[in-house]
Amino acid sequence: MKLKKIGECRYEIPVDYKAGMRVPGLIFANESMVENVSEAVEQVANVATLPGVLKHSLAMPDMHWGYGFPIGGVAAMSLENGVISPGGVGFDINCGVRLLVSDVPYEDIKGKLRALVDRIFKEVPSGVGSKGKLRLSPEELKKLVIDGASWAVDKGYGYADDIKCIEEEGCMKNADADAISKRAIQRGAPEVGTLGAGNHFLEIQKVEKIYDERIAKAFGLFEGQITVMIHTGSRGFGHQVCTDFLEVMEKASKDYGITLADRQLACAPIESNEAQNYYGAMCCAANYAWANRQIITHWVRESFDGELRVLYDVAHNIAKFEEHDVDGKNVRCCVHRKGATRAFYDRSEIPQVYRAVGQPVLIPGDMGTASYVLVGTEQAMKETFGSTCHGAGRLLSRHQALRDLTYEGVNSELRDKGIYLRAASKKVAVEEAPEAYKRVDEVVDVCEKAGISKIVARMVPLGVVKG
Amino acid sequence: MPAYIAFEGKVYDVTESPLWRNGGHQAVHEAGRDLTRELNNAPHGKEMLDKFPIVGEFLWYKEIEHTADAGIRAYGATIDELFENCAYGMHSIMLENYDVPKSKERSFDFELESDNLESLLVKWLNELLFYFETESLVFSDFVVKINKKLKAKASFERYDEKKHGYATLIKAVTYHNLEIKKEKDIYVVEVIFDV
Repeated sequence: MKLKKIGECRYEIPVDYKAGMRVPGLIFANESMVENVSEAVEQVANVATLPGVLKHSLAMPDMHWGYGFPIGGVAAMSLENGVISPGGVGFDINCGVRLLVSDVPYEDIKGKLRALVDRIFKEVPSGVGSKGKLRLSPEELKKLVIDGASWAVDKGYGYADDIKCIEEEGCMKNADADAISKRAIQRGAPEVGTLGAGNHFLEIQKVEKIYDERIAKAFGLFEGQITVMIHTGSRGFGHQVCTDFLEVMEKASKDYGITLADRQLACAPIESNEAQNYYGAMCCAANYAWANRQIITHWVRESFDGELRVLYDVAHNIAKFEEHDVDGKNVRCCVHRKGATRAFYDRSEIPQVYRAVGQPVLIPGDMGTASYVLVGTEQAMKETFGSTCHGAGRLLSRHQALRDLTYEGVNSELRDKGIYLRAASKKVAVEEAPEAYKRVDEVVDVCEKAGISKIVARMVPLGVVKG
Repeated sequence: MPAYIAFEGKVYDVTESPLWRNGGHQAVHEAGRDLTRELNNAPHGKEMLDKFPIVGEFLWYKEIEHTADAGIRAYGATIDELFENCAYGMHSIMLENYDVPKSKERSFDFELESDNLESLLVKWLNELLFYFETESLVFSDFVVKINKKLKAKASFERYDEKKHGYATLIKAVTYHNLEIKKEKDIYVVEVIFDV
C-alpha cells in the first residue's frame, strides 16, 4: 500500500484503508524507512479498529513488526468507551532504561575498563535461567510489587534521591497484588535483580557529543563523561502477568462483543473488572521492573569507583492514565506505549529538577552502536500523547542475523571500535549484532525532524554486558 | 507389493529389498509405519536405509521467520498430533540441541482446559514454558489427547547446557494471527513466540 505523506517525516494510513478503522494511522518515518514497514502498517491499522481509540493510531520511526500492536506503537483510548489491551503493552511490562551518570572523567577509567566490565558481569546475574542473589518469599515479593523502586531503597539498594528521577517515582500507585497469579509470583521471586537475556544489556558509555548545551546542563551531562545504561524489565513476572491476562481478555473480548482484527489485540472495556484487574497486575509488573533496575543500580555502584547519579529511568512498555489534549479539550485517557517512550514537556509528572526544560528520554542503541538522551517537546504533547521512539528497532530476523554473521566477526568489529563485550551467550550476541538493527542515529533524527523530541546528547559504548 | 517405511521424518521406499518382501521384515516389523524407535534399537544402524530412495517427508513443524520474534508452522494428521508437534517445535526454538525421541523414564501429566482450541494451544505451550523457566524441565515424548479437556503426558529431563546447548528465552506464546486450519486433511497452525 502507498502511504500518504502528510508532513515532515509523517505518513498517514487513511481511515478507509481497512474495514473497521475508527481513526487514521500516523507513522513517523523517513523515505527509506517507509519502504520497509508493510507488515507493521497492517498492525497500526488493526490498532485503529479498537473501541475508543482517540485521534490516531501512532507508530514511531523505530516501528517494526510485532504481534498485536506493532513495536513502536502508541494508542490512547477514551475512558468513556475505550479498552485496555495487554497486547498494547507487551509481555515485557516496563521493559525500560535507566541512565546513571558519573563524575569520573574518561581518562581515569580508561585503563580499568575491562576489569570494571568483568566485575559488573560477575555482580549482575544475566542470561537465560539466571537466578538472582535475592531470595524473596511470596509475601515479600508482594510488598516489592506494591512499592516498586522504593522497596529496594528501603532495603538498602540505593538512595532516597534516586526515586525522584524515575518515571512515576518508580511506583505505579494502582498496583493490586490480589490480581497477581501464583505463577507470576513463582516466576518472579527468583529473578529479582537479574538482567535477563535477549535485547537486554548493561553498558558503560562515554558522552561523545552534546547537541543542546542548555538542556544538557540541566540534565548534568557533559562531553567525555562516563555513563552507565541499564536496559531490562520485569522478567518472568511481567511475562506471566501478560500471559495470564491475555487468556482473560481473549474471553472478555467475546463477552463484550468486541470484534478483533487479531486475537493478540484481545481487550476489555476500561471500566470492566477484567480491565481493572489487568491494570492492577500490570502496575505490579511495572513496579517489579523499577525495583529490578534499582537493585542492579546498587550492584553497579558497588563495582564502580566514584559516585553514580540516576539521571532518569523510563518505561518503554506500559499503559497509563494521562490527560491529553484531544480536539482542544483536556481529556483523561489510557495511553498504551509498546516500544515507545513518554516524552513530556511542561507537565507536573516531570521531576522538579528538569521541569523547566522537559522530560529526559533515554534511547538505547543496539549493542555496540550509540545511545541517546533526548528531551520531550510541546509538539509531542500536541501530536503523540507525549510519546517518542524507544530504540533502534529490528531490521533482520534472528535467523537472518545467525545466517549472515558470526560471533567472531561481531566481537572483532566491536573490538575495532574499542568496545569490550562480555556476553552470557555467543548466539545472542550474534542475534543482537548492530547489523540486525536499524540505525539508531536515523531513528532519533526522524524524531527530531518531526519535532516529537529533541536530541540532547549521544553516548558511545565502551563496555557491554550482555545476557 | 510396494513397501514404505518412515524413519526420523523421512519416508523410504524399500520395495526393492528382498528383506521387505510382503511388507514385513524379520517377522516383527511392518511396512507402512514410522520405525524410528525400532530402528534405533535394531542390531544394524540407520545406514542400511541409505541405499533406498526417499519418497517423502513428514512435516512435523518448521521454523518461520519473524523480524522481532520467532515462530513455527506445525502440522498434524489430528488435533492431538498438531499439539504434540507444536510442543516439539517450541522446544527446537528454545534449545540449540533438541533431539527426539528421548528417554521415557520420568513422566509428567498435564490437564488443561479452555473454551476454544487456539487458546488451549496457547495454554498448553505456556504450561511447558512455565516448567522450563521455574524448574528447568525439558520435555519430550508428548502424548496429547484432547476430548474437551486436554490430557497429556510427556517425559522430561533437566536442562543441561552441555547437552542441550544454549537456551533461547521464550517469554511467552502469542495469539498473533493464531488460527488452527485444515488444509487437505492436515491440521496446520502458525504460532509466534515472543523471544
